[in-house]
Amino acid sequence: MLFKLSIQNLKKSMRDYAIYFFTLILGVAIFYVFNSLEKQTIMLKTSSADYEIIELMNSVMSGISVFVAFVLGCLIVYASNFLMKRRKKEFGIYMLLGMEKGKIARILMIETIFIGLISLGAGLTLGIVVSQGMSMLVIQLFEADMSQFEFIVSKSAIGKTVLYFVLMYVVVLLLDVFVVGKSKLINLIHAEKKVEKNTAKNPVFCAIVFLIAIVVLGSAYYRMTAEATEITETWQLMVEIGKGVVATFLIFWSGSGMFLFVVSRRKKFYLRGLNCFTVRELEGRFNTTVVSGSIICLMLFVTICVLSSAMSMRESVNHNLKEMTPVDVNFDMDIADGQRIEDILTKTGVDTGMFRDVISIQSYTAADQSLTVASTIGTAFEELQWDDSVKDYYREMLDEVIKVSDYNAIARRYGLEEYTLDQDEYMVVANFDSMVSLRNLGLEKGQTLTIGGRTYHPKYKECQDGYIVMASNHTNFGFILVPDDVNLEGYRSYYDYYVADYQETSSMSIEEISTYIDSAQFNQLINPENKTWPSIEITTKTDLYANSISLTAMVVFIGIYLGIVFMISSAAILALKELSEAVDNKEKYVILRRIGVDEKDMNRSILAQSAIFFGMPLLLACIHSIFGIQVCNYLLETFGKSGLLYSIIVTAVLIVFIYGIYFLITYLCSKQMIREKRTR
Amino acid sequence: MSAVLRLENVEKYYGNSSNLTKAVDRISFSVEKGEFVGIMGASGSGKTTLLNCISTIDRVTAGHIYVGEEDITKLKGNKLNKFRREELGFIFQDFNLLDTLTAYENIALALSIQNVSAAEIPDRVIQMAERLGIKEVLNKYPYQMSGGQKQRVASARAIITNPKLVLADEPTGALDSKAARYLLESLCQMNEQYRATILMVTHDAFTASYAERVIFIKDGKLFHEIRKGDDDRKQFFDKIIEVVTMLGGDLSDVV
Repeated sequence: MLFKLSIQNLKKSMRDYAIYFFTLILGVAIFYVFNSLEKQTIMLKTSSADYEIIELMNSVMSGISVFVAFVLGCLIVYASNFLMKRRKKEFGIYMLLGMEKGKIARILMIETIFIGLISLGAGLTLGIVVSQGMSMLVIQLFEADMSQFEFIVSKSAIGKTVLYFVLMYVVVLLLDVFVVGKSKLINLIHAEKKVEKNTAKNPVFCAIVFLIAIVVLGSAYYRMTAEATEITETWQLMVEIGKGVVATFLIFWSGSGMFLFVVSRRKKFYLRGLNCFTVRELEGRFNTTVVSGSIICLMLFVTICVLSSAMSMRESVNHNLKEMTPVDVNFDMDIADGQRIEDILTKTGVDTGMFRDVISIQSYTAADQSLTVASTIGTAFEELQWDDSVKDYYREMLDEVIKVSDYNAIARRYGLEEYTLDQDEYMVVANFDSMVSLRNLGLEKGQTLTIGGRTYHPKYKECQDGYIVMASNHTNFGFILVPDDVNLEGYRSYYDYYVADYQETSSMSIEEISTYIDSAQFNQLINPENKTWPSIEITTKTDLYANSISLTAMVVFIGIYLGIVFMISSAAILALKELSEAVDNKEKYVILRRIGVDEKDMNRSILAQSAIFFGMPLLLACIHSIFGIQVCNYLLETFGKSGLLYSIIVTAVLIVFIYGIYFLITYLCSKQMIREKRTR
Repeated sequence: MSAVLRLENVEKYYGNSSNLTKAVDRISFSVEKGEFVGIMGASGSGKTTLLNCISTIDRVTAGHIYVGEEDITKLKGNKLNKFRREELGFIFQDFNLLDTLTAYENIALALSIQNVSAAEIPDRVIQMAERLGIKEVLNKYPYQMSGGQKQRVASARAIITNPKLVLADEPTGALDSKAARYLLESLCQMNEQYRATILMVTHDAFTASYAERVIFIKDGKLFHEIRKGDDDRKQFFDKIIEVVTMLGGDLSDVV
């Protein structure tokens, strides 16, 4: 009997609470998809560097999954609590008929079990299907071999998903039972009869609060963008974020009152058709969703920022890579005993025929190790209030000197700026931000260098841009360029740099060479264990690409993961609220119909209500984002700034898609609900 | 005088062939312009069904209902809404006010959905509110008003559009006797001053005694009809009670 009752309730809920089920299924599916990434990435045959990043990605993913489970858990608790409120009358009738609370708890339990089974079943099925598409994306992002693709079901991800969701359902069940247990029969029976009180706020007070909120928000925007450079401490950032949060809340608190105040004064608009009804409905709705509305707005804001930053980071890294990997391969090595890289390559039997346009240069340092980063910065460094252990690090870090024409040869090859120096001039080339600012201290003071008995003055007051060894971002600590006629007495060879492109040989194509150079086998060949030379570092274009792409792929995955979860949470809360209003408001539409309002006008009113109710948080979130994205860009500056438009478009499409689906379902269901009552 | 409302052999059946309920069984009558007509009957006698058919909320099984020259049983979809909007005014037992709107807005809504120009609305609403003694509650919400005030707001909403016919379904059902009396006097005033044609359904003899003519319905059929004529209300009330007694004890024990 209880079982039958539960099943019937469920059937009824299926239709009424389509959104709830939809959200649960989506939640389960997303949870599965992102947790099964581990399994999907393992199947990819990628280089060892990729494995590291994949491992990192998987551990970050599982950490984030806990957070996501928390967010989804809150959503489910909120939603079921919401649905429970709507069912009070039903439970009231059971109790009136003499059903014990224990039995009601059992009804709830059976229902929860069914909801759990259905949502998990459908969600996992959907998840497994979607994850196959995800595999394709992974393959593409990691540029792996498509032939590796196979249908994969991750048992561990299924286990994890089931575990987390069962936990959530148990919490929900306990809360539901608690709610029923402590409620009084009289309240349950009359739950539906409560008169809707319109707690209209004082419009003048609303206007003042609204203006204050705008001012606070404006100042936060200004501080975060125009005065961004002044924000150096975490607490300063927190203050601005706090201002934004408070302002958002105040806007939601006062906005509806403001809106009504302004609109109701415009009689021409207000007293036309159903406008006054629509406005009043919206006012009521916003007044009861101040807190959740603010939270939703902030979640959407975070979503927009995370998604667009992730996308633009991906874009700019790809863009950077093209600029920062001008040749196929770099070798570099500490010249300890005079052996050059060329010699070693020949000695180990490497076919140098596969390298073309080779440039080989070397740098020098003082033989007595007196040329250090600290000494080249000079007194400015010694004046720094740093810990001695940190200072010692720079006091021992050898600096290197390169002849300007040697560097220019490479710069020409890389397409970088070439430099000229007068007889007594030197300059520093660096692009790693913190080193640049450190070295600039010395350059600004005009710190001189004495090499081979001659004194050199800095040509520029700051470091100049450039590098020799390729990297995926700006990591050149810096080296000193000196005129070619420098007297290097007392100096020794320090680093050997070898720059080359690949060329086809009789036995190998360029692709084969690339794979070969990246292989562990080649590394073994030129760096055997019994070698008599320091290790040769190999930097290849393909390797840099693979690494960066893995990194950005990770960021993009996390961005999409969080973005989707936040978005479905926000949209689901709005949808549930809107739909429950529609149920509550059935009677109102019956009245409207009786006094002769056209269906068309009622539908238009519902559309306007849903659109504004969904649109307001999104609108405010978009305004926040205009500034938020700028801040994100500022933070991600090392990665460059390109691709902003692209990322915003991608984000917008994603939001419009997910948010739009919820909006559409809500609108159609509300329309359906008010229509039902007609055949009476 | 021309007939505002004319019913011809109206029938309304519920159920299927094996279990048929004749809620309204071949009822014919007509209401002249400016008349105040009461329909009395016990609960289950079919009076509310009849009212629902006239108000186009429900459809007749057979027969015709004419409002003016138009056969409203032939109307469909938005034409029905247009008819209700422009030709009818409603007063319900449970007021049916929109609780998110103020009294003023509730009354104004009836005009605004007819696309009456916004400049004209405030004057008309205030004028009507003055007549019905609800001017001081215009800015209140339904939950802040007494039952009598709510019903007068509903009456204002029903009549402000100058409908051909005002339909009142147990308008005093949820009111105490004082409020009921005040409301009924308001209805009479509306009937006299605006020449509003009112069709009121009730089971209460006292309420019915405010009408000029009372039609009695029993088991879905027209049972009797009496006119007030030159009687005063007390005499008319006694006549109604006589008929009610004739109808059988079933009416008196109905709440």
